[in-house]
Amino acid sequence: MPGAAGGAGQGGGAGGGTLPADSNGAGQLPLRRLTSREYLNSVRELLGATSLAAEDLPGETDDLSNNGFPFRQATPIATFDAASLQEAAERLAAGMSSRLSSIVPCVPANASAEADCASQFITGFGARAFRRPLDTAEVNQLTALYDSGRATLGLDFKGAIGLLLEAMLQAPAFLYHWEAAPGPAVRDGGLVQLDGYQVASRLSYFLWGNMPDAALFQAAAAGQLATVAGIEAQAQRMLADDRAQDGVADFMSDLFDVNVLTSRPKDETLYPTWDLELAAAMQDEFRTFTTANVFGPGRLSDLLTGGRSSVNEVLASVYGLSDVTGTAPRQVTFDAAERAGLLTLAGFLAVTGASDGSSPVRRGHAIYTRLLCGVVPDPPANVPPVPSPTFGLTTRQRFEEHDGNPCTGSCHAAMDPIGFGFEHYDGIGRYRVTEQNLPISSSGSIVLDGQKQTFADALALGELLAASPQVHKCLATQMTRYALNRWDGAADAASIEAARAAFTTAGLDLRALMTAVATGRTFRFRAPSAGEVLP
Amino acid sequence: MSPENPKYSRRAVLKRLGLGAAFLPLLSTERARAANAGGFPTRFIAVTWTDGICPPSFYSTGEAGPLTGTLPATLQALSPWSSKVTLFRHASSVQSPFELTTMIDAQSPYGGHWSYPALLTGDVTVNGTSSTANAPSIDQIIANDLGSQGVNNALLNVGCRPFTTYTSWRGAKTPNTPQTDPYKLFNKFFSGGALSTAQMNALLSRRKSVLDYVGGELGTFSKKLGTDDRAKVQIHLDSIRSLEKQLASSTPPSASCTTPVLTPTGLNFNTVANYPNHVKFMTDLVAAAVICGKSRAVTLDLIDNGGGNSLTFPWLEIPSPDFHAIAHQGQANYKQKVLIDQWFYGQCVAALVAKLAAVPEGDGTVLDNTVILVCNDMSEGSFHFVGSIPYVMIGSAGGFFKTGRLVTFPDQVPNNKLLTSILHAMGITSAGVGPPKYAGDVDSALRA
Repeated sequence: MPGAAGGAGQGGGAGGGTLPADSNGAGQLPLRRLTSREYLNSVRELLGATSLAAEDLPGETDDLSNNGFPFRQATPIATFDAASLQEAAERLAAGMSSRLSSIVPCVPANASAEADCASQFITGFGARAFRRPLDTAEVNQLTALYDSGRATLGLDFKGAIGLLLEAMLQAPAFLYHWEAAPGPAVRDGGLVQLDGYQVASRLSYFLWGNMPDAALFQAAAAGQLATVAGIEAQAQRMLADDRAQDGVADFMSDLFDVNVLTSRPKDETLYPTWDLELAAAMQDEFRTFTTANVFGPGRLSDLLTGGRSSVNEVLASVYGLSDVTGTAPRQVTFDAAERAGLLTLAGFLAVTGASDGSSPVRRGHAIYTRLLCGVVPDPPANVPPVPSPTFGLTTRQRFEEHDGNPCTGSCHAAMDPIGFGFEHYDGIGRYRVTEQNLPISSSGSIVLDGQKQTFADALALGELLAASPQVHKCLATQMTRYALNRWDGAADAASIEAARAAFTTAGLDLRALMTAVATGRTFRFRAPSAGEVLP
Repeated sequence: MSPENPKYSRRAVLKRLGLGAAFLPLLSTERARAANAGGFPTRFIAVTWTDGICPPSFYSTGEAGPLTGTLPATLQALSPWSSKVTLFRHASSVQSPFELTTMIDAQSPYGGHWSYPALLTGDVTVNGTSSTANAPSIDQIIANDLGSQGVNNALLNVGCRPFTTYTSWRGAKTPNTPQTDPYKLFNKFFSGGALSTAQMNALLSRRKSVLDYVGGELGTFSKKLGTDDRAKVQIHLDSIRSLEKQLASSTPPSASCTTPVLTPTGLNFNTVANYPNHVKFMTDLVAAAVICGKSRAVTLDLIDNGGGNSLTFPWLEIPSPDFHAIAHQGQANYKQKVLIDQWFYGQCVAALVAKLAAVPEGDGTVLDNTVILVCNDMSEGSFHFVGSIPYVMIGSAGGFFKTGRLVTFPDQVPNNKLLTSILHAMGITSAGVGPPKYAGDVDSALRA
């Protein structure tokens, strides 16, 4: 039962250790390539459309077990991946052959004007594809490729532009997040300040999951992203853009692993309605609920306790709502005694449910690791099995018996009492009042902010979580990890604490948290890497 | 095994390697060490899944020596090839003699969450929430060695449901990401037939131009980065070089090379119902890649998702609980555990063995020139114990191993020594795999 691969370098967790946080600190900027989602969004932005799908591209690791990094992480480019990128670029270039005029800024009047037009394409389109101006050497390399395409490969003008497109889409400047513009690094003590183009890309991939738009490029070129005020203005503009809805939905779906729900198996005898369509409907609802709350009222409490959602017919059947028909989602209001907040949505409950039941462990584990930023230790030796469901006990009784054993108590004491709060929901999130003809008990307990607190059910748990400073801190940590696409470390602690404080001051408005993360020092600066020679 | 056997002419060696004239210069100065004593290529294939085994149905309780009678229940699909199988057991207890000593010495004897990277490297660091290999796995070592002989792209890493951990490691902290899409794998090995020669040449020239450009840009880009990041870019650059080499070398298909048929097409492998086809396709592709001379060092990771809600097996009438839960139930549910492991042995391992054994090669078959190492990363799933790793070996690697027997060991042995012996079987001189303290081999116990 292996868990998360290493490689990211794990940080100190939410607390940032016991040392006082360095208010001038900033972590490193490890090289990351575009995730498949970022790649697809970027080519759509660059080319206007794409026929590619995520499975055509190199993948990412994304696990829901064992405290793995909570967001998808792109893996190194193996040979297969390089071949996938090659084929993707070839397909994209071929697809553009009939509408090259949408990306080429000129129409050469004659053969002698073609080289000049190609040159304009290289610097203009290149700056968008590479998300920063090209340096002279890069322009020369692409010009040489164009020339060789014409002279050696015998391509015409359009064919050679297609060749350039293929090449740019496989270039490291497109594929990797390293958008530093040509020129010397701006140093600040031992740190390096990210330049405007780097900040622009960091902002746009954080908030939109996409490349910068024209306004962001202009702000970068004008030096407006060198200040907190400049970044704040852009962040607020971007959060008001529809693309931010996708970005926030991606964050929350990744955080709770709802993005992998379609690959979760369920026992078809217990859950005969379970199929890809239902799983996709749950994913859609999870995203819509997230954006409706983050961009509606905006507060964390709305997200964790809100009672209005949008469901279609197949999902309505899970919720016991009979008056919803068709495939299009419709606004509904949950029975307030049964369901409220993101953690009672079927998407979360199904992805953390077992194939054949509820699973207090997995649900507790998700809350503990993703909202409390807790780290679960290795299992001890000789963990006895959980009794099988045939013994005539409720799930809770079976797991309580299991956890009562001293050797498993250490593992599960932190998780199962949280997960018991969700016992009213079965493996796909249907509400139930009995199990095995026995009444459900959904009371549980959780250690929050150093205090053990008890709750009656998941609804009360949602209220406790929404009010907990520990959860607020953890969300600031998770949002920072997401924005930086790496684990946090001691050097990030002050930035995380500043984001938490801004989040609290803003009445726990999640948009304020995102803005605070984007203006944090560790977002704008970086520590040089070992062996790096700064320009 | 001597690589200098004069019995075979260079031409014969080449022919049997299935290599074209493009390789002649590479072999002109020495005999093909990449071939075994019989003059044929030796191949290594690791097949892996997680969550342990049911020990009473897995270990032979007989005396050390030739395998007689039926194989243990879990392994029964291998019975037709029992003369090619090597089983291992501790001399006086029903457990494997091989242990992940690297983890036991790191105080992680029950670290089954983190053991995948140790299976083929014998060298991991467990940090409490994950583990990483500190050395290349033997498939990578074998591929590197073949590369030094002029046999490019010998490495093949594929998986059906690898989630986050891998058996194949390029080096310290750097896993080899497996290909999980059989259709893409098929296209890599067997597509291109629809293009005319002129079209193919045009495509190859175009790709060469672009790859030259990308390679150059990666080299320049790398210089801007720190040490760790340069290593990531180097992997990318190596992959580009590998694609370039594929362009430069066209391996003519041998008579025994049959293109596998992947039907139905367009399957969504995220659904449980398609998992059997996923396993079948990958098994067929691995067999074809080996038989057709396209790969010689292969890992096939069937499943490593033990930590979350894992696979179910409705086609075995096990719609629930899932794979992970069944493993956790331990003795309480050996019945379903054995059914699933029998399915893996039948659907994948025995199917692979059958395909390799069906292709004659010299006096034997491709199977005889191969060693398949079947791995699981813990003993019984409910214990997460890594002190008894249930390896099974099939094939003699060209006569290096004496097969068809149960080999017992009086003491526990670091898995490193088994891995080292496999390197020896592949013609590689090695004092040990992983940390020097686990150096040595088990050649004397296993050799023919």
